[in-house]
Amino acid sequence: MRGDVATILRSFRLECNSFRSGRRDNFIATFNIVRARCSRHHHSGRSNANGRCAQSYREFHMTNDSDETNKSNRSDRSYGLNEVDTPNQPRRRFLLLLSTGFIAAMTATIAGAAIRFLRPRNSSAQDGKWLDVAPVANLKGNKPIMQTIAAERRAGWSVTVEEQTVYVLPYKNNEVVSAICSHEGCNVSWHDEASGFVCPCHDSLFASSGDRVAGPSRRGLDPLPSRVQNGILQVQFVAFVNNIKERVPRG
Amino acid sequence: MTNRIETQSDSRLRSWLARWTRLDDFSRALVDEPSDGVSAWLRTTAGIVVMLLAVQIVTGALLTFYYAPSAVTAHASVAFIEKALPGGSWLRALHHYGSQWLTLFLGLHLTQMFWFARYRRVPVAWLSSILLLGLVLAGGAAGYSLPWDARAFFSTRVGEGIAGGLPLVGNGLRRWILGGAEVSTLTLSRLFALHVLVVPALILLVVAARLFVFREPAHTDDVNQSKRTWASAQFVRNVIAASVVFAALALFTAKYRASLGPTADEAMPGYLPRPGAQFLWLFQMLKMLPGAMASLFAVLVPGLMLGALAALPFIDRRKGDDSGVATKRKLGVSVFAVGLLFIATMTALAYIADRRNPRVRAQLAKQVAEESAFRTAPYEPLRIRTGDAAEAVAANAGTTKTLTRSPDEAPPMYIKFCANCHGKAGQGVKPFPKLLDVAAKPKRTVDDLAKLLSDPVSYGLEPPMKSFSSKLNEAEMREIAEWVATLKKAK
Repeated sequence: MRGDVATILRSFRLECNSFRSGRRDNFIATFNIVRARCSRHHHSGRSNANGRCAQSYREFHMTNDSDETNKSNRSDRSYGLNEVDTPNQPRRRFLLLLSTGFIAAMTATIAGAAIRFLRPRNSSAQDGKWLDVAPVANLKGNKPIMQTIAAERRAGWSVTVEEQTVYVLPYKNNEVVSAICSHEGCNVSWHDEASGFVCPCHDSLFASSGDRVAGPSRRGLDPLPSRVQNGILQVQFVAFVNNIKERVPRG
Repeated sequence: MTNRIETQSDSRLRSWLARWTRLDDFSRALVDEPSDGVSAWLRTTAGIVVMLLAVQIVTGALLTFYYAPSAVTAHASVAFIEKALPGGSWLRALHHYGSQWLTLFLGLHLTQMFWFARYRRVPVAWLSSILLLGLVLAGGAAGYSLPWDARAFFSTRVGEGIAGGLPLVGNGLRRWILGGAEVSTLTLSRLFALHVLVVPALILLVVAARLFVFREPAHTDDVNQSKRTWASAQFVRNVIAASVVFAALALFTAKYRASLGPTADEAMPGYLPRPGAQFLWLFQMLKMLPGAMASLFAVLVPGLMLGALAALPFIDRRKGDDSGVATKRKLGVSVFAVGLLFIATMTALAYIADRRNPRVRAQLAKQVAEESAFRTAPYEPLRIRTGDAAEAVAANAGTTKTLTRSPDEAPPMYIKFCANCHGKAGQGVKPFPKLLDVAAKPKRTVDDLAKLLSDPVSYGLEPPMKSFSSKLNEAEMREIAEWVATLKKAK
C-alpha cells in the first residue's frame, strides 16, 4: 500500500517536473522534423507523398533511435507518465491498474443504478376488486356460460382495462373458471361435440367441470374466487403461473 | 515470481491481441504526437468527451426502457421515470445535464485543438469534432421535446416557428419537422426517431469513421515504441480526467434534477419556456433581433460558426511551423476568442435578463412552484380505456367508486387538475390561494363551487384560474366541489 502511494506521488512529481523545467520530450523534435518533411512532400503535390513520408520517417528513426535510447539510459531522465519503462515496472503496472479501477468504478456506478432502475415492476391486477359477472337469476342450464369481465391492470405508468373471458358453471354451484388454458395461456372454448373445453393451441382437453382430461396441460382450468352480492355473481380476477401442477398466482 | 508470471501472461495477451485484432492500429489512430505536462492534460478533453458520449448512450438506452413516445403517453411515462422508479430521476438528470456538459467539453476540446493548431496536423480529427458538436446540438434540440411537459411543448413551438420563418424553405421545413401543420403526436414521434436512432447512429458513424477510415496514414510500428508508451500514458491521463468529470457530474445530478413540469394543457397561460443551457445564447440573440431576421440569424450564426471552424484546415495551410503556437496566429486567435466571448456574454445576459425583469422573475417563480407541486404530488398512472372494456369498468365502477375513496380523501380529478396549485389538502401552494374554509365565504356553496369550475370569470376569478369545462364532466366537478366544501382549517 505504501509502495502504491509512493508510486502515485512519484508519477505526479515527474509530471510536474517535466512541465516546470520546460523540457519537451526529445521525441517532439523528432516528430517535428518528420512532419516538416511530410508537409514538404504533401505540398509539393507528389502522388506518392504518403509512401515517401512513411519512408523518411522510418529512415529518420533508424538513424536516431539508438542515440535516443542511450541518452535516456545514461542520464536516467524521465518525463512524467511518458517515461519509457519496462512492462513489469511497478509504477506503470500500477497506473494501468488504477485506470482500470477508475473505469470499473464509473461502470459500477451506472450499472448499480441501472439494475435498480430496470428491476421488474409488480403489476397488480385488480388488487382483489370484485367484478360483476351476471345476475344469478340468469345463470341456469347444464352448459358453461361464457362471460367477459373487464379487469383493470396497473402496469408502470398506465392503467389499462383488459377484457378477460370466464366460464360460469351453473351445474357446479356457479363456479367460475378462467378461460386461460393452464398449459401455455391460450383461451379455451367450449365444444358441444366434445362436451368439454378445448384449447386451440395445443389441443388440451378439459371436462365440463374444468378438470384436466387429455393433452399437454398439467392441471385443470383455474377456478376464480367468487361470491354473490345483491343477487349478482361477482369474481376476483387472478392470473396463475402457466404450465405447472400447482396453482400459483402470478406475482 | 508471481510478477514474472503476470508479466508473461500480460505479454502473451498483448501478442495475441496484436495478432488477431487491430487494437494497435486503433490505439495508434488516437495518437498523433507525444506531449507532456500541461498540454498532455489539456488533451484529455478527448477522453472526457468519449466518457460523456458513453454516458449519454447508456442513460439514453435505459430511459428508452420506459419512455413511451406519443403525445398521450410521453408525459406519463417520463413522470413515472422521474417520480416512481428507483434511480430514475438521477439517470434522467445524468442524461439531461450530460448533454449540456458534452456540448461544453466538445467546445473545450475544439478550443484546445485550436490553441495547439492541431487542425493542421490532424485535420480529420478536427473536422470530426466539429461534426460531433453539430450532431450533439441537434440531438439535444430534438431531445428537449421528448418529456412533452409545458416546457417541451412550448419549446417545440418556438423551434417550429424558427424553422418556419426561414426564407424560401421555411414552410416546407416546418411541415417536415412537424409531420403536419400543427405540433402533434406525429411531431413527437419524429423527434423521438431523430433523437434515439438517427442522431446517435450518425454520431457513432462519425466516431467509427474517424477511427477506422478517415485517419492519418499509419506509420510503420517498428520504430514506434515511444509513441506506444506515450499512448498508454495518455490513456491513463484520459481515464483520470474522465473519472474526475464523471464524479462531478454524478454529484451535480444527485443534487439538481432535470426539470419536469405539468403538461402543456395543465399549465397556466403565460407559460415561459426556457431553452437548455447550451442554447441560451441563441435564445438571447433572438430577443435582440427584429422578428423578421430572427429565423435567418438563428440558423445562420451557428451555421457560419461551425462552417468557419470546419474551413480552418483549408485556410490556414502554413507549413514548417513547428508547434503552431497560438501566439503566432494573432488574427485567428482573436476571431476565435471573440466568438467564444460572444457566446459566453449572450449566455450570461440571458441569465441576467431573467433576474432583472420582475415580470419574468415572478412568472418563473410561479413555474418553479408549479413544478415542485407537481413533483410532490403522488404519482398518478395514466388511465387508458378503450371501447367495450372501458364501459364495463365504468358500469362496475358505479357500484364500487364511492367505496374506494373515503370522504377525507381528495377525488382523483382534484389531484390531477387542482392539487398542483391549491395543494393536495387544499392548503395552497404559493403563490396560489388555499381552499380551506372556502365554503364559509359568500357565493361558495357546493353548487357555486361546481359552477365556478366551468365559469370562473362570472365568479370574479382571474387567470391563472381557468375553466375546466373541457376537462371535467359535471359529475366530476360536483365531486370536487363537494369535497372542497368540506375542507376546514385545522384548529
